[in-house]
Amino acid sequence: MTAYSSILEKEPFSAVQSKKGKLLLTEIKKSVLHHYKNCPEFKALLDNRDFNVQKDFNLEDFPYFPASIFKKFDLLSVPKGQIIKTLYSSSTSGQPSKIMIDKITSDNQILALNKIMMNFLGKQRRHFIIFDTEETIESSQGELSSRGTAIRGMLSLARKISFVLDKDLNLNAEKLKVALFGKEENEKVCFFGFSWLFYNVYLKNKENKEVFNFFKKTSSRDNIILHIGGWKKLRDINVSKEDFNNNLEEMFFIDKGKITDVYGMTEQLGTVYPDCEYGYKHMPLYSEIIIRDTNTLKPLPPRQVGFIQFLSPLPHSYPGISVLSDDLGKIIGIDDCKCGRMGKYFVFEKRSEKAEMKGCGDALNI
Amino acid sequence: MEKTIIFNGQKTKESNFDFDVIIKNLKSRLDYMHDLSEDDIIDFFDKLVDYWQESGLLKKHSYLKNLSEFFDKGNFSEKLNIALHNNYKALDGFVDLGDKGLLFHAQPRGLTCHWLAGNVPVLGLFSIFFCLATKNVCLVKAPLRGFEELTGLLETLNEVKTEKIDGRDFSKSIAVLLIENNDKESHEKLSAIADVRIAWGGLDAVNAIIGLKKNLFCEDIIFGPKYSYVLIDKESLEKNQKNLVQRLAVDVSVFDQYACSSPHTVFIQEAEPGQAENFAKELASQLELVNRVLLPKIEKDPAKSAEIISMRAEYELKGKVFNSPGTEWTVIYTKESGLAKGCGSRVIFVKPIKDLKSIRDYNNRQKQTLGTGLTQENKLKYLDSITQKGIDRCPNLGYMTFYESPWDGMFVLDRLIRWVTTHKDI
Repeated sequence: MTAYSSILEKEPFSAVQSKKGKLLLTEIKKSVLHHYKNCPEFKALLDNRDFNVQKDFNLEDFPYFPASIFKKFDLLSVPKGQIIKTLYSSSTSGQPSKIMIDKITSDNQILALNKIMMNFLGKQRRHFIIFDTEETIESSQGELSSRGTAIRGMLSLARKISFVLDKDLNLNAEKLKVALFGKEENEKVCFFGFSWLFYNVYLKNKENKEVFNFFKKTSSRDNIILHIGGWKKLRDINVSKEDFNNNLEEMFFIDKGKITDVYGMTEQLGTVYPDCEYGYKHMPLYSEIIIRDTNTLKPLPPRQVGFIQFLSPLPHSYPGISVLSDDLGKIIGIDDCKCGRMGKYFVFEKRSEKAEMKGCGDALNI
Repeated sequence: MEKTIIFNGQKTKESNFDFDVIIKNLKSRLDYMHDLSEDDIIDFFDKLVDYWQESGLLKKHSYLKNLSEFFDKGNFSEKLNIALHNNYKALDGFVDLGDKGLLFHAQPRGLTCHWLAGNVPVLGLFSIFFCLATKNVCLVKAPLRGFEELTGLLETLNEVKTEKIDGRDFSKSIAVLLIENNDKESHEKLSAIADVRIAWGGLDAVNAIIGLKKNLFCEDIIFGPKYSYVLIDKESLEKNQKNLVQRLAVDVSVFDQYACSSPHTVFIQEAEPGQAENFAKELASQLELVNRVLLPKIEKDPAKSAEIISMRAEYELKGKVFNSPGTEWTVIYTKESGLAKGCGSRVIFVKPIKDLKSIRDYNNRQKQTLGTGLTQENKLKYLDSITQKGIDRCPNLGYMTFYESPWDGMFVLDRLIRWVTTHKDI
């Protein structure tokens, strides 16, 4: 039984926004008190901003930590002895985020992830063919990379797993063959991995008829691709989401509609945001989104682009309950997505790139 | 983007222009410039400043105040004199500078090529006007952002006509180009034909320019990336805190803190604990006022906002932060020693110190301006030692971003000419 079991017992997309808002606020208030009492840095943040934890508040008024704070401080809300693993974010901008997880947080995350993903994947567990190497999920002294963390998180959804990349991250055709042709009849397959690794495999094998044939011969309308990890590396090589989907559709013989991008942040693992069939990401009952104007930092109405802030009561061992990311997105609507899921739904627009060198720096770059 | 010429005596827009024709035209202007008298050029700039005043441009672009004060006839002739060994008439012919045997003449160097940065348009105008004032001609690589403002202001030259100089002729000595930063061929060409290379920019930018091949006798005037900060003594703090805070708030806000002369750290010599923190609070109020009334923040860059939010959160946990509700301005009080990393966008660190001399070790050639809130006695007592390893100027607060001659430790006007001597009559 976890501290937040009540909210996690409910289905992730079942409640309309007005009902969800109340349920979530109650859970977040409990969580605020826990972190305020146990995390000196969290207390300092709230005290500095004259935020009274005893008074009623709206989520929009609740202070946030920027995600980058986890790169600079080891933030803990439980005694260090209770930490069972430490996660590190991908470090596209230098220092990685460091997130320390206790059993309660871990259980919350696993439960939330399962509930959310099962809503998208269905209850029948799949054979996960993972486009990564097995070494990625091996922890070193309790520490895990972001790739390892994300893959491990998904393993609980699988009935069977197969890794198909070698240590050097090249596709091992033999392993792929065994995974594809050794599957049981009617077994549903989920190809899973980081977006850039999928694309790497595509680039290196786009002329490889043998690999194309493997996919062709084992194609099934039940197969899906789940990819995570964001677009930064792909954008660096000018690959759009459309290019990505077209190329993977061609190679894997999977309809574009079954290629799903999953968005999430290391600072709030467990609450993940897969695209629905209409291309939107949905807020589960376990977290809330606020979009903030990038200059005024005030909350924005739907369809206006700003910084993405996520609030969730699930983090217990670290004060990641209100995190402002430097990713940009916009809320599309509330309770009215054609897919039928309730609550707010949004799209991720882009990362806010490293601040442009102003003036002195823009004279020449040859 | 193709390379484009956007100013050639007047605003224009011609893609794929012929480089050689532009250069030939500019070089043909050297005789015209040479024949102008320096007094007439000084008069022309004086009238230009009047035109800016009358046409409302001065009100529209607050940074022109610095330029217009500088090119006011009385001030500019004085600055020319100081830079040119006390006789600017040396630009017109041989003059006696007090040497027993020699007469001196300042000849223009010829074709000056400028690489301008986009952060501070006024600095580009200074370098262009200095070249014209020393009878050179200018080929300018404009910044890809903000070039419209530059060409708009250059066009005002055409509106001025004095008894001796018609602005429409004078402005033909300037051509402005837009060239992609990665158009190596064009940059190489600019560099190869320059008699003077003037570069404003960050480290990568100026290194790239310096690395281009140049004429053996070409003069380089490099305004590279610099860091500036502030020192306030306890006596001035006690007497003038309000005034110092007001002036510093302007220094921080001008150019959104992206000038090399913009301050990023303020060292406060405390007579008693808490004074620096109190100063930080006062500075916060003034920054709010300046943003609201005088210089509203222009910059809107999500990545910079993210950087500011991150920095604020970091120092909420290890210092004190006073900030606007949005990302307009931020004052960070911390006892950390040393210079704070420059963030720009109106983020200023306030730090207490005990000993004024302790900042001496922070200085090297990369430090440019030390804004001072010091008594005259302390200036004379400490600034010699403080500036020994670095720091090129120590203006009073409120004037940190005002261009001065010398700049970056050099008399630029002097670098734009070459001295010719002849013997006096025996």
